[in-house]
Amino acid sequence: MSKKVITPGKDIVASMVPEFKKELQDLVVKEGVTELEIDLTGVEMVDSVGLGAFIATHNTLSQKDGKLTVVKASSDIYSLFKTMRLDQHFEIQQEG
Amino acid sequence: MQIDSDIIGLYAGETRLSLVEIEKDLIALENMGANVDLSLAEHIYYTIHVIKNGAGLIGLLKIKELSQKIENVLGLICTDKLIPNPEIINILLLSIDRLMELVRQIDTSDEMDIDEHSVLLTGLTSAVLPDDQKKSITKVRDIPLPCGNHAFQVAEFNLLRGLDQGKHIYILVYDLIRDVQDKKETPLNLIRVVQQHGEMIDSLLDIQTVGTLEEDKSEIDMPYFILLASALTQEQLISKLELKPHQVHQVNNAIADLIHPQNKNEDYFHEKRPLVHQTKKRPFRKSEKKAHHQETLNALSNELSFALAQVNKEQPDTMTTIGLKRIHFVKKQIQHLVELENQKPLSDVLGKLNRSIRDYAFTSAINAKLHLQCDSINMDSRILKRLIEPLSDIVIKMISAIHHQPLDKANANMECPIEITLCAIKQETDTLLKITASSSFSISQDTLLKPISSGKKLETLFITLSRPETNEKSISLEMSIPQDLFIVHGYHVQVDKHHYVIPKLNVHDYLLKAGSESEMWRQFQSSVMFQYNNQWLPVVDISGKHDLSDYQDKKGIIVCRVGDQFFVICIDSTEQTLIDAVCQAPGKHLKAIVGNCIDEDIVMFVPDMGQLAAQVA
Repeated sequence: MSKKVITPGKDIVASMVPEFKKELQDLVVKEGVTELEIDLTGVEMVDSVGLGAFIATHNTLSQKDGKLTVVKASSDIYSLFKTMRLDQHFEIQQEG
Repeated sequence: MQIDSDIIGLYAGETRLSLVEIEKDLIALENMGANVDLSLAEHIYYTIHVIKNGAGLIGLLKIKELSQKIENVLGLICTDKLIPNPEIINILLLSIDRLMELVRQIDTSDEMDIDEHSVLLTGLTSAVLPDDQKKSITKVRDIPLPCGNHAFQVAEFNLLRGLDQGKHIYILVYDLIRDVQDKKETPLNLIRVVQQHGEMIDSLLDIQTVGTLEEDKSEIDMPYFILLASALTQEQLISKLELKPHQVHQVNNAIADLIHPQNKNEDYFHEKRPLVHQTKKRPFRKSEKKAHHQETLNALSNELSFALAQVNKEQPDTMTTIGLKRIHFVKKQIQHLVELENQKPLSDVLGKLNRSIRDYAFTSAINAKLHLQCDSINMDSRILKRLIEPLSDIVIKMISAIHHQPLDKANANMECPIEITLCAIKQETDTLLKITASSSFSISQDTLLKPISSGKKLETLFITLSRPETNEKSISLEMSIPQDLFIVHGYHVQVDKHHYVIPKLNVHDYLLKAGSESEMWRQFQSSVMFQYNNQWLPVVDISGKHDLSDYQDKKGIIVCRVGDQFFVICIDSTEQTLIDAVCQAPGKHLKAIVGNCIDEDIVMFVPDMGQLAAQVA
């Protein structure tokens, strides 16, 4: 289906992940979005649980031949994703 | 862990300075040709290593990656497997330029392209390896994970590099939930801590284990594996990273052939010697160096002779620009060659000056300080050594002049130290030394000129000393030290085993086997005179103390003319050899080239003919 952009607007950490994952589930599983862009404007930190949310989203979209793109990542988050080689699984773009 | 923008700014600032230094060091390295100064190469290697590690800690991926590739090439130079020829240095300099651009735009550096430079550097690394090792650059090796269902795929070269630096290769096993999240840590912080204890070759997050959005897992696993090259032992790593033994796996089997190569002699990567802390230098290859110099000097000499002959054929107004440019180019090449052994940081040599000023201040009970501002300027150490004495002389006399100013002219507290600043500025054709004395006294120019009795010593070095300037706040003077070589067309002669070039311009007559008759000589007070064309001409001694009998034994006589002044130089040479000598500024006599007969051990002196004429006037 169509492309959708989601903007969490706050740090993606354990405390917000259940709600964030619910939103992602609604988009990808229920609405059938296959091209999802997560805009990380205003996101300064991603913890392990938050990282899990990205990976789960990517895994779900992959099963549906979809595509995850993370945009406007801060330099720290961009660095983290690159070091963990997550850029080999989904596209990530740095802010600015 | 959020990296403070101040830390990034500090890193960027320091890195920019380091890169400027590296650039200069690389040029110095290029000039050394095959005679690589390992300590300089290791210094560059270490500097880029620090830049790389800093980038790793801050998380600047492109800067780290490019630094790593530059480090790989420098590592080969340090291990004596790559001679830094102009092509190699050019690639390194281009890469350093790119690195500088990344650092200047540090916030967006990770989005900048380094592919072109990576390819060049990797190609360089690959190109110099023996054929049987070239494949290590591109050959990817599987390092199975402890769980067995995945493997790191790593370029063999990266593993070999780690081993070469005396490191062990480990796989660290983390679960990002239990080992990180539950300990209130973040993945980014984990990576930074690990990078402090070794070099992360690769890392791998098992994304399949994480599952999908549809799976309702109350607890997820997030296995994360890090391939680390570290000098620490397994026990040390467990302790430093607060891990359990099962989380640290030393990689042995998968790289057994790399750890225990069958033929160590053929595989330089396996020589267990650290790159940076290497203390044992390779044998000094004097004969190689000499042969290399000899060959290059010969080639340049031929080139110079040809270029000079070509230009000299032309009338001055029709001299070809190309010919002159060619001479200039050859001069520059020769200059590089003759200077390469003697370049030293100005600050190193001028440290002695600092000591002598400190000693003077202490013994004279004067509160005075000398500040040297000459970072990153290199000069010929032979010039520098000659500068110490006159500079000390000047600075001490300046301090003394200021200290002994009449108190009624003072408008500042005498307890304030007298501060002299010596600032060096490298210019296109010379190095400018500016000596400034901060003083709140008003000092007459006569007083300022008085201390400069060292002027003559400097003149003999072809150094020009400007007239001091003074204002209400400070006094300063400048001296210009020429850096360019110059060509002297003249006769190559020997006097008491020393070699000299007597400028042809000043040679009025060249007499061989003359002067043995005693009636041609006369002692007049302390001077010796020689009879030439019924005139008594003064004899100038250019090499040492002689008496009349010494002069009579000489093989030849050169009658020199400077302006209206005639004088005689007695020589030991038995034949006339006219040459174009390429000379350096320090005393106009460091090295010279004699046609095609170059002996790099010969140091020729070009006497200051004006000074000799003044001596006998």
